[in-house]
Amino acid sequence: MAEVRLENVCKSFEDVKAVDNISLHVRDGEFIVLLGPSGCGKTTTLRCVAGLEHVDKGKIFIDEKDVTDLPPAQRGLSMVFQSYAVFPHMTVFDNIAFGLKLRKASPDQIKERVKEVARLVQIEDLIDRYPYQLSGGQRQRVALARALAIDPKVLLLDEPLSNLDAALRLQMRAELKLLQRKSKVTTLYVTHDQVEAMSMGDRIAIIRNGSLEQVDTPERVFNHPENTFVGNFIGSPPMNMLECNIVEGSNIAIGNFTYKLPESVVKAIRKTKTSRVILGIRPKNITITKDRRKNAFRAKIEVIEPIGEELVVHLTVQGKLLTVIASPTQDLRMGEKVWLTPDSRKIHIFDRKTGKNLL
Amino acid sequence: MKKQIVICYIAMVIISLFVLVPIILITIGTFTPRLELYKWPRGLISSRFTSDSFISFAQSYGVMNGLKNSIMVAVLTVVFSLLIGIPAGYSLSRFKFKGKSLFTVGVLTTRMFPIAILAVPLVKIYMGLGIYDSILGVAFIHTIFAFPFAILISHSIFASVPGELEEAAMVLGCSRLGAFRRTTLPLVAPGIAAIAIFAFIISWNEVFAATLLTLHNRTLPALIVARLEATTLDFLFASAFFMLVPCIVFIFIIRKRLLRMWGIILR
Repeated sequence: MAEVRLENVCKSFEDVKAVDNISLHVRDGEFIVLLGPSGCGKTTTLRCVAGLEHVDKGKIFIDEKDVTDLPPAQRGLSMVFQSYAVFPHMTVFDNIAFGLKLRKASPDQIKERVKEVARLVQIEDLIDRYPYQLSGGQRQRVALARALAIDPKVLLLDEPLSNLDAALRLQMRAELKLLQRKSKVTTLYVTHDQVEAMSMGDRIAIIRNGSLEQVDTPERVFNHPENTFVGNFIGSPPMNMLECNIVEGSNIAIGNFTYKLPESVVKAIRKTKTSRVILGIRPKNITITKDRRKNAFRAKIEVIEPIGEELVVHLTVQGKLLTVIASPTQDLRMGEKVWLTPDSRKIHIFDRKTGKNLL
Repeated sequence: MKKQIVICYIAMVIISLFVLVPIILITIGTFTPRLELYKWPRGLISSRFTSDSFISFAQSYGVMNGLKNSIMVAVLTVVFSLLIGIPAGYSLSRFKFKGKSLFTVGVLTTRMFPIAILAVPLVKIYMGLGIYDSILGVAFIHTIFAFPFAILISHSIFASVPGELEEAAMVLGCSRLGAFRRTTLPLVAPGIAAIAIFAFIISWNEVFAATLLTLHNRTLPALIVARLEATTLDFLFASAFFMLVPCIVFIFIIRKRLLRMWGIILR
């Protein structure tokens, strides 16, 4: 168990900045998820921690020890690769024992430890097989067992679930989380899947273009996104973003409509002195009604997608697209004109220029 | 489906016969009494088994020495080709560097110039270097013939082994070299065996350069070619047989590795 600290880490490939000045403190025993769209530098960040990439600038510490210039072997961590990288010419036993043999453990110790971790990931019966005799999910477990066998200080996981089918992915997601809770190993987990990130991470580090956008608990990331990117990236369907202007102090204009902001929001915005803002509101936090209510605006239903427990309703407000999640008990028709009331406690106001959350 | 299998078998039999029949005839000819070879008509199988012509060939001047030279040259060629081919192929498949594609093409340009053009300068240079008429000298020129293929083949073999295997090994506690030895090397062993066979045969078969660059220390093919005109049938059969056997033995030794590993490679 250990903490991991990244200080101003930079890594470029030719002229592409893959990691751009990232500082991150992962606490002892924490499960932190590096989340971002593909190509954002999250895997490169992980590889820098592993020592597979040499950082251009900055420092990496594991437990106060500067490991920036240490080769991967001396960092005391282990990694599960996206492709699993299970050794094809070794049995499952030899795969799991690989790191233990390098650490000169005695044959009895090795046998016992391999058995132990094999049981942990439920592959005791496959111990004598070769990887080509295993399914994708089983190979994944072998890779995990191999990584856990050496009792790593830090466990690095690079999109470990992305090659599994949907059902297995759900199952492994829960198992992985449980495993981490039990072993209490500090874990860095890379994924582009926000649901995975939300469900597994103690904290989520959202990365875009090599920079950290926000590092927070899943709850905070969802309810208090620091900027439009995070607001958009987390949550499905994504947050609605409406460009609007602040008028008369406490109202904002969305096209022809004015929407009255609550007092606390007005106070916060007044300090920043900007009037060109973006109103962010999650699809779940808008109510559709047929009759006019106070502080509501008019919209036209374009498409309704029934997805079982809820309806995903796409509407247009003055030519702008909006998504609302409604209950299937509501009687809604395509083409119908309705009234939308955003929950004023759940709105976000972003600066239009910087994208920063003003609240 | 069944028809395809039948056709496949027929093709395999034809190809096998194409290779095997000359080998069998040479073997029979070698162990047939000398006078019987000149009889006409004669049966396929000789009247009695004799190793007279084999022994007389083996004992004739220079043959054992030539055989020794040939084997040494071929083994050296294999060693040199692997020493150049494996690191070069590995670098081509794993690292990005400037002039990579130029290098790949450049390797092949070494085969652009026919040895006949280079013959006289080569002899001159060899004499200057003091490696004319030496085993090492012949091995060098054979290596020049073999190494471009060694590089290109090993390049594609290494490219088929994912680099993540080495990275995984490194994270688990290996140095870069240790990771290579424990993961990639066992996986590419069959391919390296194939390169070895290839280099061996290139060297074993090569006559022209070997003739050119030696005087007393001839390799077996160079020796035989030099004597080809003024020789008898039994001598010819025996020499052909002599050429065949080491080659077949070598391939059989290497083949074991080739077959044992292909089954599990790269899954």
